[in-house]
Amino acid sequence: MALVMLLFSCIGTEKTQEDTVFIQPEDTQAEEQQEETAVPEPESEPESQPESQPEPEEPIEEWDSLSNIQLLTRLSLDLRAIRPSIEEMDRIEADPAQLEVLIEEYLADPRFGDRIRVMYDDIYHTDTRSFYIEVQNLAPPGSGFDNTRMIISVGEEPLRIVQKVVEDDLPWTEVVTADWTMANEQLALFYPVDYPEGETGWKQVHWTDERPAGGVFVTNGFHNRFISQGVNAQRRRANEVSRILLCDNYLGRPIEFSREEGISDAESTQNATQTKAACVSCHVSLDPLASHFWGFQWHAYGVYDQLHYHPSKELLWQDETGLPPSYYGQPSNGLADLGHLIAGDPRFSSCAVTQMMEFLFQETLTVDNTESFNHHREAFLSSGMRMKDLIRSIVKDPLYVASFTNEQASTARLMTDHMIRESIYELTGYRPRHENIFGDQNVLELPNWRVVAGGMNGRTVMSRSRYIHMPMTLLHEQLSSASATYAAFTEHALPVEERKLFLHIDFTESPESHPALFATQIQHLLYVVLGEQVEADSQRVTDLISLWSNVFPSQGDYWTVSDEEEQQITSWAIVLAAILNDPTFLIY
Amino acid sequence: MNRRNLILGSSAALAASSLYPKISRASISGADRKFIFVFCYGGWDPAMVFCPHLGDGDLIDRESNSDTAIAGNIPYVSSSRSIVNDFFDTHYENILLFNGLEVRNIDHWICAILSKTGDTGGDLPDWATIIGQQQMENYIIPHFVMGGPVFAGEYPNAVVSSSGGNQLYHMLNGAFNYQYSGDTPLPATVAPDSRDALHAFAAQRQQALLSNSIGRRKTLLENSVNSLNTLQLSQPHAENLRGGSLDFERATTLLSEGLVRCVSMNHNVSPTYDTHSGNYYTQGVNLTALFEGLHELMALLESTPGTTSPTSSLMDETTVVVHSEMGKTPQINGSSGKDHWPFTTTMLLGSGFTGNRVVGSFTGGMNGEKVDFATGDLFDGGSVMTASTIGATLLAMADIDPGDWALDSSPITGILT
Repeated sequence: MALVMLLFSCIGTEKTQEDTVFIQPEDTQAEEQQEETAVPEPESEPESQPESQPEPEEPIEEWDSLSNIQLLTRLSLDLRAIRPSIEEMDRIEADPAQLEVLIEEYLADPRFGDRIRVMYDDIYHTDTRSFYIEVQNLAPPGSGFDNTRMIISVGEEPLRIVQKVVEDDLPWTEVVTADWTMANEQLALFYPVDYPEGETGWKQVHWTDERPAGGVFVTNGFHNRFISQGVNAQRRRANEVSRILLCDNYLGRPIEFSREEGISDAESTQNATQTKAACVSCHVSLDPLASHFWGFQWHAYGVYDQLHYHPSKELLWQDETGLPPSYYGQPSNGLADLGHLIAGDPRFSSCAVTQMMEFLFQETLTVDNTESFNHHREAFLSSGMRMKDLIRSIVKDPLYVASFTNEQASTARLMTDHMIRESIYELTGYRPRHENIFGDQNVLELPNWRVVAGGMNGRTVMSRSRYIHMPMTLLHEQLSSASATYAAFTEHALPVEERKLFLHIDFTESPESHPALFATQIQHLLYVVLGEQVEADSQRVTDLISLWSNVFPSQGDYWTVSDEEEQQITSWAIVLAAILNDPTFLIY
Repeated sequence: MNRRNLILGSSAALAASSLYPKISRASISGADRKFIFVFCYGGWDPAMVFCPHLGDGDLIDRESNSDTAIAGNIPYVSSSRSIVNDFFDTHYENILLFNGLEVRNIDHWICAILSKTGDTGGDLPDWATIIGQQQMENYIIPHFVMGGPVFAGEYPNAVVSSSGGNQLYHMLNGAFNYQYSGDTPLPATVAPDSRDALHAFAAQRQQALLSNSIGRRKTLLENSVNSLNTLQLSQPHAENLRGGSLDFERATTLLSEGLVRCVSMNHNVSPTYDTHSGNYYTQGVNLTALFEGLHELMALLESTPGTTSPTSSLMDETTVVVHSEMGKTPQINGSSGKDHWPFTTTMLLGSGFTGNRVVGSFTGGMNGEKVDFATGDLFDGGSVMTASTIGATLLAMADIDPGDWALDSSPITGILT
């Protein structure tokens, strides 16, 4: 199929390599060129689509594949942020056909929703935990107001919509057309929503402030994250809509400023945006898009201005820019139309496919991915734009399942910060917490710690590390040690049948007295933590027994342990730490 | 054996002594040059210090009490901030201003990427990382980031970032002390011997895995090997590997000890230089603090021994780059603020360039004038100075061929010494 390749100026800021292209199927060109006067229907009408999955197609290309357990590990991490359980690994080893069943189980797992929410923050950048909303003194006494949870929740609000749409297998167009939002009891204290009285937790609610439907781009989280006041005239918000939902970041375009423009104040700058060629090329579409958002204009910090929609301000564009709302040349009646206009834009579905492929491939798409992109986009559209079907299609892509040793496509992935913290927790039960002026929080979810683990903070670090760096290695080591210590001491206090890691020992044995038990225990740890299957007499097991023996005598000198049994527990903790700290733990 | 391997091989000995033997050199080559990058996030207002009054046709709004003063050959804006006057009067011979630099964007983050990499994507390494990685063998941490944006590109092992706080410092001191608060009593500390054993075990595993890996997996494993090496070598220096704003004492210590080639930091202030309202007051407060810090830095550079000869000081060996991602509009807005503007100033301090000089100029509308890169003089037929121009010039100062980095500008050779 011939393709239209729009170069960098049509794609997000993180994609500036020369070979980066925005891939768009030929059959969408005509749609783009239409000059319709009415608000178009969504590109693919979800309600009319059959619920059945797309017809299976021939593989795009045959490559060596990962082993069953390697592939299951990749799927589990990508879809749940944790490694597969022993039971799951056993199932796929016994019957590879279980892979299809396990994928469906993962897509139905509650952690899949969490994964989607966290994943999309890489694009949305709203979970910054640094909102300034003056609500502290306004919460009713006894309301259970928690400022930390409130601030976190504001940033999560748009991401919770994305999560809900994907979890409930709703058409992706709901992200921009939903007449509902997500709120918990903290947001409900201040948001104008119909949250059920007396309940708690995240719930689907409706706005009560005459706010038009618009899914994520009418959320308070979006508008408080992307403030666009003064002479900025809502342009930032318009650009974020374009960047997030259309993969088109105006700010990624280089600007040639003419020295003769004479733009020295707000008035001449505004004039230049409509008359000077260098400015008009972007502002001709950006400014009318921005004109949709004047109902979110606020003049001062405060609950009313920051958290309420203001229909009375919708026409402020008349005074500010004089440009009525429109969508890339198509007339718009205002914010209520915008979601449908976006949903009907072929770039919206292409962007969704691009984003999910880049999440799951951990690579920026290039022209080499064209065939694959078209295949997955077709699967997405034919399903009525269901994200789960897109994921089902992508995880069968040869590039997704290709082995580590494939010469054409070595597909190793690097764990994200989310995967690191959740995998450690799932395996050991260890979740570091820290209570400070911002309340009691999971340390590894704090923005600066996310950066240490290779992630981003949404403010000053806007792209995740594709490489392992020293702070990540250090965090991995210390997290491994701390969590292994926690797990060893915790499980020591439990009966064997309640343990997950130390099933074969009671912390009194030595390698000399019980060599077989040691080997069996280490085999188990390697399997549950890394999916490694090794023989009892393998070098791998021997090395770890040697580690135990080497560190055991030193414990009494340093650890605050009282007897030999505690020294044995800590020695096992170090063996577990060494396995958790294995380089292959981070690479999947 | 290169210096890094030599250090790694004797890390135990180094733990007892934080100072490395100095390499005797007769003169400073670009390859020995060190760099400090001071970033002023938010977009400073060049009209507060760097852009003097321009006479007829000057449309730029300035503080009411400001005037043009001259230190050596450098005209600057004098106001009630005496520290700025003192700074220029004292150090003009070691100052160079690039005025009228064009950043071609007006978004903070894009401009931050542009000003540090010359590109908008964030995938390319920043200037400090390029310079640092060029001497990877000779520095334990080629580029240390005390704060602010950093772009490591494909050189993650050339960069160690404190990540804006002291997470790195706490971890290096073995204090990942966000322990759970459960009922099970845990040991209070990790046994040092055990930590060494863990390191040794991990290193052994890395090598075993590397031997049969290819492609991306091999790249990640190599990252892992290098990171662990850097971690072990950094351990004795944990005390100085903290985040900080204008913490020049620590920065010069890191440079003087030969641990680091480039240090990057952010001038952390609140409110930042993003002064859409109250421009003069906030910019004034921030610039006062900045120049107080830079004044202290110049004294430290003079008094701190260098690493290339027994008689050299860091002033002989160090170039300081003080910059902001964008400028401010020439005229004040309705909130007494100034908005985003794509022309700005970058200031060099220290050595490695012709000091006592201004390259480029602002027009009365606060656009940038063109420059002849061969001389550094204004020239209508010259070229626009962009962030890439500064980057190319810094790379040339570090003895790195800018042509190897596909920049869309050549260096200003006229200011190189």
